[in-house]
Amino acid sequence: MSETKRGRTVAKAAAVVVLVVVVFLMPNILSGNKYWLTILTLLAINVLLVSSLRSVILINEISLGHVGFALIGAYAQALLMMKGGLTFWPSLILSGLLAAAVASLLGHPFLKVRGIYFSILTLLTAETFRLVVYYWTGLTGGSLGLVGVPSPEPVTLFGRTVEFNTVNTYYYLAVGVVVIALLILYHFERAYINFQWRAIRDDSMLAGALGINVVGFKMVNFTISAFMAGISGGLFAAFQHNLSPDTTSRFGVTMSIYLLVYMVVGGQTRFIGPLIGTAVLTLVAEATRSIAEYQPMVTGSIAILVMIFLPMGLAGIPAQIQTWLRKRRLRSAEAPVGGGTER
Amino acid sequence: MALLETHALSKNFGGLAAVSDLDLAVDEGEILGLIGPNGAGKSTFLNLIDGTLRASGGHIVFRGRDITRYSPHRRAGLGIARVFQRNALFRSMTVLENVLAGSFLHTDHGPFSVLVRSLDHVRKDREVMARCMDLLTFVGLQDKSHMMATSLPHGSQRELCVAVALASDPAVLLLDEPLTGMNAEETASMIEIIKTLNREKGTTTIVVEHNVKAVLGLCARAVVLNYGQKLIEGTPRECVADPAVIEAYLGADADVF
Repeated sequence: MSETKRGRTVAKAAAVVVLVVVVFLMPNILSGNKYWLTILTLLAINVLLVSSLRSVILINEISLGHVGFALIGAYAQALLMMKGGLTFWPSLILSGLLAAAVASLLGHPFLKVRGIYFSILTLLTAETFRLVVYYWTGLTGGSLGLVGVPSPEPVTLFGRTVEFNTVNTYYYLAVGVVVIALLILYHFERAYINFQWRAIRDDSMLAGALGINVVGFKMVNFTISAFMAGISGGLFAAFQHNLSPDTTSRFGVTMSIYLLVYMVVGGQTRFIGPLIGTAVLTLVAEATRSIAEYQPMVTGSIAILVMIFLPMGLAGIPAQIQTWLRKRRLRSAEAPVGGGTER
Repeated sequence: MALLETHALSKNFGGLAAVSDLDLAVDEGEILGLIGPNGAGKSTFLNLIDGTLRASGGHIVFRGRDITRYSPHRRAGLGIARVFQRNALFRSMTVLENVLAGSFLHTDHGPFSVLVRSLDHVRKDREVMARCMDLLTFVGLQDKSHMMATSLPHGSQRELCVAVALASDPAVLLLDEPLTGMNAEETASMIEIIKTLNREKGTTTIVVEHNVKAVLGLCARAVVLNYGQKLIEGTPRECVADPAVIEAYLGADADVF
């Protein structure tokens, strides 16, 4: 038992090392192909957004409002840099904090409702944020969009000045921030109050009766998750240099739904799920670019197939194969006995 | 002074008074039986005590402190533990993990523990683990600690519910029909658990139960509720012999006993 466990740990560590090396060398592998690096950078930013969405799953709620927090983060980042005169890093942190602050204000009334009501509330709130940005022309440029968000300022590392105004370098910055954010989210989920999250998810009434501050935990969860969504928005703003609050932009309802699909396809029960789901569906979208008008159908059919055949998502495939093998082994073990099942 | 008192406690659901003007005192270390026909407000009363429901009127005083407006987790922190009528267990957890989750109050972890982790936490977690195994031994589930909680038979699940509630080391234990759906053997072992607990740790217990025979064996004092009001209070034997109680249960001209 411990042998296989150790083997699995080694395999996991090896996979992580390979992943890190590949991610690190990606610009070289792609020999600086701007198109693909842009896609990968956006992918990293989306992974953070989907992961932040998934962390709300810990309290058994589905948020459709995380694009709203991303929008707050993005516009805060842009405005703090353009009008506030701040540099990249402080405004990134501040934009995350602003999203978190909004979430903590909304959290108390929101978390009093559950299930579909929570989802609807968050969805409408995100739309409200978008419309506020849309009509607040003086500050945000309204439907014309906010153009000219500056790149992060250059950093001098080991005597070499690194500029972040090309995709090539911004890729590293985005991936770096996303990895740190994901590590924080992982710690937050796994570390050791794991029990409390599971308790709240399984039976929040019993959890309350045992002294767990259910509303408090939910608030902290929602706030941290909004913080991460805000950070992803900030990264997006400094990468794209222009923001638009249109329905078709990444702050519209469609994007909320897509994020949800990424999460479900990847597998919401696992931390790695959002990464896998976002990566696979982004690559599928790229591969089907020639039939762009049918893309939603392709994505939709993949989602349906995954939900039917892989209820745990793509990240659950190894576990699924294991159960399948175990069942087969059991069946073949029983077969020679010839129906003499003792169980 | 009584450990737990209610003064004119009321709860209305719309026009229905589930509990009305109830004055009750529970002394430290006693097992109080709460009986009454269906819909008499027994479960509502427990819900009011543990904070699942907010009172419409009146006060709840625990150790001299008015806790009427406290949220459930704060009451649990003061030492009020509850066993629900349904088998409320964490379904994604094993038997041992359920009890560990129940020990939450002994772990110093709050919502903000997500940000820090100290060696002190780890040391404490080990102590908590040992306590949980002791509790499982106490209710007789030590051999099943690694089974999924929901895969246990009903009687064992009930015992596990009690262990989970005990994990918080409560001063008052609220048991909502702990014997429902149990066979004779399971009933006896559950009664033994409640009695031992009361004798050894002095845990004050409020039992809501339909099994009158069990109540007779378990409690020194019983309260009969009807339509949210106290009908009679006394020894269980006095209670079941009272004409008003028989009338409430069986109607005015019953001639059963």
